[in-house]
Amino acid sequence: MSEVENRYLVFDVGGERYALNLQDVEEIMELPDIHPLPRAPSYYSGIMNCHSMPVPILDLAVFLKKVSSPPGEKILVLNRKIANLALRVHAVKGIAAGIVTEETDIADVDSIEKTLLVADGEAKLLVSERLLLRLEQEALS
Amino acid sequence: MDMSQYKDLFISEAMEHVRSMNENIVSLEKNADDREKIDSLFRLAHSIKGMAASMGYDGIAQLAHSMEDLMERVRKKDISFSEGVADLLLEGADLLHVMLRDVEAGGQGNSDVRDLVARLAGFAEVRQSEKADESRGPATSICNEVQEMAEESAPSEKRYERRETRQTVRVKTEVLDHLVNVTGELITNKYRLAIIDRELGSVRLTEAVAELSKLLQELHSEVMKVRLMPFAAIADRFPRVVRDLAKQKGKDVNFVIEGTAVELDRGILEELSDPLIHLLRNAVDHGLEDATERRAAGKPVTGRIALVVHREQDQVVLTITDDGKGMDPAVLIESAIARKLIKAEDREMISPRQAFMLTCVPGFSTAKEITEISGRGVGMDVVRSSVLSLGGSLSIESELGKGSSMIIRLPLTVAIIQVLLVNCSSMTVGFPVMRIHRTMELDRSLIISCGRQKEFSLDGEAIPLLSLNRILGVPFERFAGKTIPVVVTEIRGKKVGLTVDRFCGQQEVFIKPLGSPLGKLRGQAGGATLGDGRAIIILDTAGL
Repeated sequence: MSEVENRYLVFDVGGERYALNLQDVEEIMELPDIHPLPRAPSYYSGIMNCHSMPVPILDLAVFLKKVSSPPGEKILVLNRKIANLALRVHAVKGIAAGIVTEETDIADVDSIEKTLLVADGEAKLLVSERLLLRLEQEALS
Repeated sequence: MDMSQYKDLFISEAMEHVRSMNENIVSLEKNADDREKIDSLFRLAHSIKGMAASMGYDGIAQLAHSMEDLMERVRKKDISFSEGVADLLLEGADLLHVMLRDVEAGGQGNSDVRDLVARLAGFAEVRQSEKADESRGPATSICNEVQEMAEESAPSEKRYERRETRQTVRVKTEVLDHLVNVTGELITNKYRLAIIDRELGSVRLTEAVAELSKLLQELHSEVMKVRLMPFAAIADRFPRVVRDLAKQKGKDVNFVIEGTAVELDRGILEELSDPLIHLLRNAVDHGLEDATERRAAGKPVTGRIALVVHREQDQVVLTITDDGKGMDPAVLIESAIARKLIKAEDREMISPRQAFMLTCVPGFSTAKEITEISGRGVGMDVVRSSVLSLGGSLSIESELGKGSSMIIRLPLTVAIIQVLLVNCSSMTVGFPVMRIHRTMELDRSLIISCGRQKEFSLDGEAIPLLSLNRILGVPFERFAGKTIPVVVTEIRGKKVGLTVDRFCGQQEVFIKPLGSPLGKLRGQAGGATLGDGRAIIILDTAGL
């Protein structure tokens, strides 16, 4: 098992702790005006105007099938270089250093989550490339 | 004298000269008698020497000087432009590049050039009799044809360069991007003013807004022109990449580029360079067979790789084709199953086209050796995501034994277009005006039911009537009115009438591709933000 120490943004989705690589997050903001997004999978809340860019909002609680009511009020805008997407979450906990435990089981190559060890416990690290790949595939169907 | 303010200019010009040198060298390898290119190479080295000397970068000046001297000998026909000359000059060009990068990063561009300078100065032509026939080496004949699609001939004459530079300026791309963004914002703001004007009803304000509108149109069209660059701007480095790799792999490659005059948005061009280089490397490394295999397959020993760029309506299509060994869908599928990327039971359900795309899944690679050239299968999925983030698509075609084609489709530009805003329930969407045949308020009495379908008659034609509300998945509104708003458009070649709840006026919007992950969502051509702050989707009628 290899270990990588990096910095992560830790946040809550439906009562569970998640994390993202800090480099993948561009901005954190309060819930903005959300406009309707036609024909998108139901886990998208809609689309927002983010600095004059139309950015879709993915409700992580719905997508990850966690407790989603009431819906989250915080938005994580992802790094423009990797995606045009914002994630709707319940609370942002902060920035932490962490260690990812790499899976050696190839069966997990599809999984969008990895386990992240942080100072006060564990969080589920969302692997951005895999998440985006899954979202792209589901947008096509 | 403080030269630091000229540093950026020096670097930008010198880098461009080095790129041109590479192009010329590769071209001269194929045709060593091209006087024009020999002169050009000489002048380029001379320019770099002069610029570097005046800036105080002695290492660069010294290296450029010795390259200039070598080219002088070629010009005087003391020596011919041989493979040895080419190799030395390419080495020089690479070292210059490294030194320039160092200057860019704040250094002095000092590298130990003594060895290379000595070799350049001491270069002596090997006489014909000393070379054995076979020792000419593999992959020494690289054919580089660059064909223009435009009517006028390419402005390649360096002797006109001085005249040209007086009429042009160099501008940082960030500045241009900023210009485009601000123009887009200005247009959005113009609509805010127009909204206020409607409320206030001031004649003077209306006139001022109209004038503003006209000026913005002009600004917009000039700015968009400025963003366009010919494909040649990134293509000039490709022949060198292919040549070097082919030589390294011991393969003989004929590399052809077509469509270098096709213009693309600068931002898109910049992003394309790496993915294209990767695809070209793949073609040389994995696509083409080596000489023995090719002979056995009855193919000419020289492999052919073609990079073709052309415009198709509102898209740019780039195709990289090789006449190599092609790909076997079955092998790819089995490999994916072995890597647990797909389930064994799904074997039958995967079409050849989908099988080829398996190469783009992260972590996939069937290369027997994971070579440092093309990476650990990291390449294809990065290529695909780069293309997707530009709002484009990548597809692969291949025939086992014959070769493969990589096809990249991209939207032309980030564009400012006219849309008709329509309301469907609480949803506002934009209809590109170019796709609208006409709009009308259709009298309900004219709607004919034909089985489960509704139709109406327009100019003697029976046109099916569909509800955009239903297509978008929103509820209907109850109408009291006699008429219903209809947009007549074309879907897959047939005229269709789409009913909406209300028309909300026509505007220009700055259409932005949705990128990843929703870029390929069907039915949409991108998103936009309106003057009143709303974010909307622009419809793609072809995908509805």
